[in-house]
Amino acid sequence: MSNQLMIYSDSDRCIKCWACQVACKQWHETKAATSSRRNVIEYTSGTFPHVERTFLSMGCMHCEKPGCVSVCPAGAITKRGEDGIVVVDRDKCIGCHYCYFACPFGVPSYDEEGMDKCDMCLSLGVDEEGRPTPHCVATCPTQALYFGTQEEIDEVIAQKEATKALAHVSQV
Amino acid sequence: MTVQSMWGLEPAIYLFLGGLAGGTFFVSAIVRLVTKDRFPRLALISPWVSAGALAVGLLCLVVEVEKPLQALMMWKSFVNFGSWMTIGAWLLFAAIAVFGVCAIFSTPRLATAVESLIKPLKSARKGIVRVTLMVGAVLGLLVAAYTGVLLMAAGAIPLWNTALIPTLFTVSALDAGASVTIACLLLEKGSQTARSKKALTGAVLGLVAAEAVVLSVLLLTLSGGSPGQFVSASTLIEGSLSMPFWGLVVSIGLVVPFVLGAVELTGLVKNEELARILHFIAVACALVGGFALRYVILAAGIHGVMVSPDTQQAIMGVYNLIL
Repeated sequence: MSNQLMIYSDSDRCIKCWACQVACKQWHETKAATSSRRNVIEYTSGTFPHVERTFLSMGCMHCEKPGCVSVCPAGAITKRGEDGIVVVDRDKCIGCHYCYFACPFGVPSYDEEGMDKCDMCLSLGVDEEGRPTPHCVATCPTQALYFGTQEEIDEVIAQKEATKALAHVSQV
Repeated sequence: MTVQSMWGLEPAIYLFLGGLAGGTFFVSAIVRLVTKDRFPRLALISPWVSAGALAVGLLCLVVEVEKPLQALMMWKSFVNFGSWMTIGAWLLFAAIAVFGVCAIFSTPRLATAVESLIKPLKSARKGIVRVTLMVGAVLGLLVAAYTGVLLMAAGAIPLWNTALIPTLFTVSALDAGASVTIACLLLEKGSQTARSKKALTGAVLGLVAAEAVVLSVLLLTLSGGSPGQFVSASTLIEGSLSMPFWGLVVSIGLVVPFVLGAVELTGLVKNEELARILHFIAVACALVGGFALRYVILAAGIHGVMVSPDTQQAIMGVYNLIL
């Protein structure tokens, strides 16, 4: 199984309170009105009166084959072999914005020091197992965010699906 | 739909000037090689226009990045040769060097000054000009195409993600180049320029027609494409960019030069002074259209994630995407 670390956002639990975004900006001391590593997005579906609003906390997806890594002229972005985290070396980055146009999710944002994006809080240190502690996950009051390896996240999703199926059965 | 603003005016200026420089050098080099450098003003002006336009274009590119000084240290900043931007940066570096050398050796006074400094160059002037014209023509064509490849290779912009963009930019660059070359010939004294001017006007007509075809194919393909492509095409055709698109790109950039070129070729205008003025108007219109084309394509390049229901679904299912 993959050792890829992931942050999973459960749109069934997210209430769009922005706590993850605020925590991210505070922990990483992001200046106001500059870059933004994590954003809560909303989109609507259906037509009145059956309109549904969906909320999602979004940051870098740490893709398996990251478009940003291949287009970066300075070679400033790399995907770590040990845990799959995509990291940016801001010393190398020249801030050309090309990675924004390569990212399918429009994640990269910029300040005068270059591109800024989620590193799963790697820059704030790691625990004894060498894992970072993403502060958005720790902060989320509704526990809509999960952090773990691919296996662990798989389990979370399987459990969630099972609970849903059970609820459906009991309704019937 | 608001237009994308991550790359604003400066990159549009660069895309235009890069195309203009490459196209001008390519077309003027061919004319100079074919006519054996018969036109002194063309020989003097065209390489300087190419080198100057490329230099200003690169300046626009450099000021747009967050760390301009670091970007200038190219050996440190452009190292990932898997990226088209790196290949393009070194291509531009080579092009401006060759254009510059060609310009210096095409300027009699400067060439004499350089030759007096470096003695062995004394007998090499003609050879240097010839070689730089040939190498520069190839580099010029590549620079023109690269401006489009840069956008195509970005990947996440539905409007740009097609080989039609580099095709469109290359054709438009050659059109601008042929127009500038005509303008240089108009400044020439004597009347031996008639044949070259006529050939170039014919080329402009062909290029304008080709550009119209590529543009139509692009818009038709996009209109029937993914939701992201559809939104971008609509922004150009009937949305917030429709005024500059129909007014500047199509009317001024394509229709006016085509009509004026056709009038010139049919010989309807007998008055030479009037014909000269019409030529200059056509050149100016072609350049305005060329810039407007880059600007609207850049601005309409709305990020897929902003418009596409597909992409929103992809975000929801992103867990499956990254597995």
